[in-house]
Amino acid sequence: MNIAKEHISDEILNAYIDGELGPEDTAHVDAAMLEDEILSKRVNDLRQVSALMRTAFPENNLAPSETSARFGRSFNDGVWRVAATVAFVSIGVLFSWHLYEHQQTSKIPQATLAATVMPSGVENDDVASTETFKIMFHVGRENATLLNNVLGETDRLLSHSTEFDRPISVRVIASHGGLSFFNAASEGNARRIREIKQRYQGQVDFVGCGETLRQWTTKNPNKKPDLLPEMLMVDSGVLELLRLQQKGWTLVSI
Amino acid sequence: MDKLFANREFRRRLAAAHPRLLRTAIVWTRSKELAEDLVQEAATKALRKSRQLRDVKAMEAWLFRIMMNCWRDHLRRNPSHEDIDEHEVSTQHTPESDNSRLELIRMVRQAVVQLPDNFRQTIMLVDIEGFSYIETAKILDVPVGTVMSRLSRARSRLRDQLCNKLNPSVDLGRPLRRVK
Repeated sequence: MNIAKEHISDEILNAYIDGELGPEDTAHVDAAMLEDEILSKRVNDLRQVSALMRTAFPENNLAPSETSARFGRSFNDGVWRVAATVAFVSIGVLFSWHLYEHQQTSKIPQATLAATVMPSGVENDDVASTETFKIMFHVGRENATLLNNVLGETDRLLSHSTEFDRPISVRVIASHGGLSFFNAASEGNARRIREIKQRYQGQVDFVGCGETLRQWTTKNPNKKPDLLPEMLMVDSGVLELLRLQQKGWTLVSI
Repeated sequence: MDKLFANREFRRRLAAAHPRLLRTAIVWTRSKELAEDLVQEAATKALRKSRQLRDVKAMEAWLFRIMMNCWRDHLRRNPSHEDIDEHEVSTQHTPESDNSRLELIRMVRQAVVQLPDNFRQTIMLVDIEGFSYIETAKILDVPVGTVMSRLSRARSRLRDQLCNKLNPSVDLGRPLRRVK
C-alpha cells in the first residue's frame, strides 16, 4: 500500500493502530506522526475509541444467565427448536449460558501479582499540586520503539525539571499490548524502569491496566503474571487516562 | 480414533467460542433473547456442517461467518426488524452506575448499539473479537476495503458521540502537546 504523504486517511490510521499495515507503511505513519501534531492527535483519538470498546465489552464480563428455561426456543421455526435442543443436549452442559447484565468488576487476584494493586485509580494523584506539570504517557501497544521513547522522554523530562519553574510529575500508563513490557522477566526494561523510579522518587509512577491483566489471566489460566513490583495496578487503564485528564493531567503523544 | 478426537475437539472449541459469539450477537441483534437464539442456531448449523471445516484453527472465524449468515437470513425473513428502542439492551442504569467505570461502559455500549448495523457488525469483529481485516471481510462477505471504510466511519462516530457525552472536561479530542 502506498500512502500519499500529503494526506493520511482515517482508514489508513485505523489500519495503523490495528497493526494491519506493512512495515514500510507503518514506518511512514510513524514518521508522519512525529512531524504532524494533528495527525498524532487523530491516531490517539482512534486508539482511545478502540480501547474504550475493549473496556466496554470484556469477554469475562458475562454474568450467569437466568434464561436456561428458554433453552431450545426457536429462532426461526419449530424445526430449529428440536435441532437445537438435540444438538445442545449432546454437547451437554459445556456451554455456560451467560448474559450481559450488570457490569461486574472482578478483583484482581492479588496473590498472583508482584505489583501493587490499587482498587480504583492511583492514590496520591492529587499530591501533585496545581502548580505541578502533570504529564502522562500511554503505552497501549507492544512496540519497543514506543516504550523506548516513553522511557527516554520520562527520563529527559525529569532530569531537566530544575529548568522549569514548576515541579514535574509523570505517570506512564500501560494497557493492552503495552503491558507486556512491564514483565519482570524483561530484564532490560525492568532495569531501566527501576533506575528511573529510583532516580526520580515520588515524581514518576508506572501504572498497569487491570482489565488487560484480567483478560491475560483468563486466556492463560495456568500462567502467573510476573509484573514488576514497581507497577501500580488500576481497574482500567483507559478509565485512568480519562480520570487523570479530568484532574488536569496532560496526555503526551509519542 | 482420530475422528473421535476431532469431534471432541470441535465441540470443545464450539463451547469455548460460545461467550464470544453471544457477546457479539447481543450487539448485532440489540436483544439478549434474540442473541441467544441466534447463537443457538449458529451452533446448530456449525455442528451439522462440522465436516466442512477444513482447518480447525480457522474455526472461530468460520463460526462467526455462520452466525452472520443466520443473522442475514433472519433479517430477510423479518425485514421490519425492530430497532434498538424496542429491545432491551443491557446498558440500562444500575444501582452501581454511580461508579464511573460502569457509567463509562454504559455510555460506550449505548453509543455502539446506536451505530448502523454494518458499522456495528464490523467494529465488534475487529475491536472486540480481534479478527484481522481479511478475516472480518470473509465473515461479512465484503471486500477488505469495505471493512476499512465501515470501521473508520464507526470509530469516527463513536469518537464524536463519546466526546459529546462524556463530561465536557473529559475531552477525547484534547489537543496533545508534544514535549520537546
